[in-house]
Amino acid sequence: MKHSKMRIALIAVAMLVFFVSTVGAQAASESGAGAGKVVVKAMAYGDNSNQEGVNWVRIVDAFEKANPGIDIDYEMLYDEAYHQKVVARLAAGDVPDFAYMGADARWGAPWKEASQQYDHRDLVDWNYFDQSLIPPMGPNGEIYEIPLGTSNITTVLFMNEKLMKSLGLSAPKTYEDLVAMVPVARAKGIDVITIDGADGWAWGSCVMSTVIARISGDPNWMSKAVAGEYKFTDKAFVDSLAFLQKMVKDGVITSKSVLVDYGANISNYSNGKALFMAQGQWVAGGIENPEVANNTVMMAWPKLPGEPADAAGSVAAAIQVGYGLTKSGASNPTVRDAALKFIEYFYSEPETTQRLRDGAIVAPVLKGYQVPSDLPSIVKQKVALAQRAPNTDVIDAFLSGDANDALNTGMQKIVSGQSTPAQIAALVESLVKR
Amino acid sequence: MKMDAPKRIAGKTIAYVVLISWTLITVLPLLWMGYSSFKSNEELITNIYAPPKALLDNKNDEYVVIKPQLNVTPDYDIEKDPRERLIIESATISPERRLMVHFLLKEDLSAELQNVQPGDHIYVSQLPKDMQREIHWKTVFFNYRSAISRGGLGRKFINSLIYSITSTFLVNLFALMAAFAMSKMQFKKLAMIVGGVIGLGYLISINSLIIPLFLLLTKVGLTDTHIGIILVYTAFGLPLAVMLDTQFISGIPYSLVESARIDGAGTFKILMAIITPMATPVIVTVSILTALGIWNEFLLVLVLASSEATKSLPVGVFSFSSLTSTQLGWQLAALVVATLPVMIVYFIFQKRLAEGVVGGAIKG
Repeated sequence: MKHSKMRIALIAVAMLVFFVSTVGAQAASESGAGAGKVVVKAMAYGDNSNQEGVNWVRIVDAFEKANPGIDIDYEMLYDEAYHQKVVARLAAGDVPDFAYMGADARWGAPWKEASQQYDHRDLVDWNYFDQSLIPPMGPNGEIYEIPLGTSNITTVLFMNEKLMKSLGLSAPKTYEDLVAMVPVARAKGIDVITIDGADGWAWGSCVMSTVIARISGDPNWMSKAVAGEYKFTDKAFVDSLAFLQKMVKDGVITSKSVLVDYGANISNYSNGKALFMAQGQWVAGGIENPEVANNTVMMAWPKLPGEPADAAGSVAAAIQVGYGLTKSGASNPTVRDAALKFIEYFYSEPETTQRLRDGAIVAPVLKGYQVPSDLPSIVKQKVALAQRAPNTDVIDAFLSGDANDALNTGMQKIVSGQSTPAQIAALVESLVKR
Repeated sequence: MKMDAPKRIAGKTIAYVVLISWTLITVLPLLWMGYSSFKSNEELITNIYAPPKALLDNKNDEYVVIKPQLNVTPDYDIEKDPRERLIIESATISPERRLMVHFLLKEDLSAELQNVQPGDHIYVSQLPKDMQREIHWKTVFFNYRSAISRGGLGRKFINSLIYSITSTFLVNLFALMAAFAMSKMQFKKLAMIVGGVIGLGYLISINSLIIPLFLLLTKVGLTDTHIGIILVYTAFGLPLAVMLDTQFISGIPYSLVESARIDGAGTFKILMAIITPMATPVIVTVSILTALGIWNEFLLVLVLASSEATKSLPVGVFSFSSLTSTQLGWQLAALVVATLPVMIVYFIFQKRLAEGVVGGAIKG
């Protein structure tokens, strides 16, 4: 009898623990709403190991402290985990009030397909943001998000100037100059260009986007091809794919590039294992070795074989991603105003300056912004490149879905000798048509 | 029948070799994880097996004076404590990344150090003794401090505890009820059907269910809630638990149930007073399997938990690794934080757990 009572008491205690822990934890997670706060649901981009994520957490903490009536309830994810969760949440109807988003085929498509893009033109304070620096994103000039900065250059060659000089080399003007560096680099046991070839998107965004524009001579070749004005089986595109093969054959890029991931690519460059790194402008803040970062020159790809003169020195660039309200978030005026308040805080001049210093953006979109004179050398390089280089299309800003996936995988296959340029071109064309 | 000496020696040698190898395979990674959690990211990248040095041998570390910046987060309340600070950043551990930063009270510094300017270099040995001591320990535990503060490991640790304890309790409770009904009550055909359905549940992988599950939980408003995650863990833990419990309880003589009924005990009383105490070995087995599985589970909680308030330790460990940057030192420190409780529980209850597992294996 005594034991029985003991057992019943134990069960009761266990049930109580269960109840208190679950309900208590539930209450804690929803404390914002319970305390009469405006809860704004957000999807942020970053993680605890990178500057974007660390800054997001810091900004949210500071904002909530300054605005105790607002609770930013966020989910922060990075890279593919972010893209997949966006699709899952939108499919489930769990739409955040504002999110990190873009307006192109990669960053904008899920929001567009879920009809969650919202035109910000009537909401944004144009005394705060400079409308002339924010490009139209919709067919009628709609603005769906506030870009973190002006154009996002995706095809940058980062050159380790100190290493180059130590080997008696100078900045290349033509592709042939790069080829001439191969024996020098090999003798030193390093690569000429390192690229994260394991990431399919890197071939498209960071190499092919500039190659097709340069070889075809049409800066908008990609958007026109997606619109049906060109075919992916056209000579210009097949030749561009063949150029990847040529780079491997010439030793400018090694076929082992397809094994190098994003982090390893930056690490290779940071540790002096390559003269150049092919990546986008956002990497400028991620070069961990200060000596290499301070001796890096950011440049456009040199003149390619067969490139017409008017395409010289161009870089591929897209509208930069940023934070924007969703249609769902904008439908509730209280939430909308709170979200806009946060967005303005997020883009405030001090935060924007920090972002500029961290190398995350090219140039701010704030009205009347004065660029500080004491920016790090690599950031100055970036601004200078943005000012002098003409822009061309970025592939995945226009090409999406299976066709883009097939192209990305196809370029890896070309580089590793498993497919020919003509085969990949035909495959992409068939998928675009479908 | 006795084995002759050479055979016995050979047998023992093989047994010792196998057991020692197995022990090394199990223990060495833990040892490596433990000492590597005191290595800087740079050390881990350059030589993954070398002993820690940079964080431990820090008495004469070089620092650079830096300006206050937004991405340099003070480790004190600037509103409550307005006293002037000198901000210094390590010149050797993650230099220029604003990760190893100290805020030194200017009033405690010598006149010479109070006047240093951004860009100037100073050494730890130049600082007052108490500051040296503080910086020494902060440097030694740099990975742990960073993992806990930047990864929010405290809250995630509590969430892991909530998920593991509550779900394990519920799995045991429901599994015992189901197993008792299926093995000792008079509806054999229905029990077979229920058993079949539960067995089917065991065959279905988490990966194949995760998206429908996410959609379902969203519809009922349970995504990103503790209750939702606990229910999912309970559901995934039940099939194996029911199977083990049913098998075990089937072995308990039915005469015990009959005797209890004759003595006037109800069904619930029989379950709690007769069956549950006798099923302790299998309960222990189920608890170990369930709790460990939930403690280490990553995919479900990554998908179903959106906010920091509901994420658990494995997601915290993962958050230090991305395409752009991996903080290996922080990640290893987070792994130690996640592994240590399991090891402590194991060492405390080692004997009981072994008995439980053996008892569960050989049935009642």
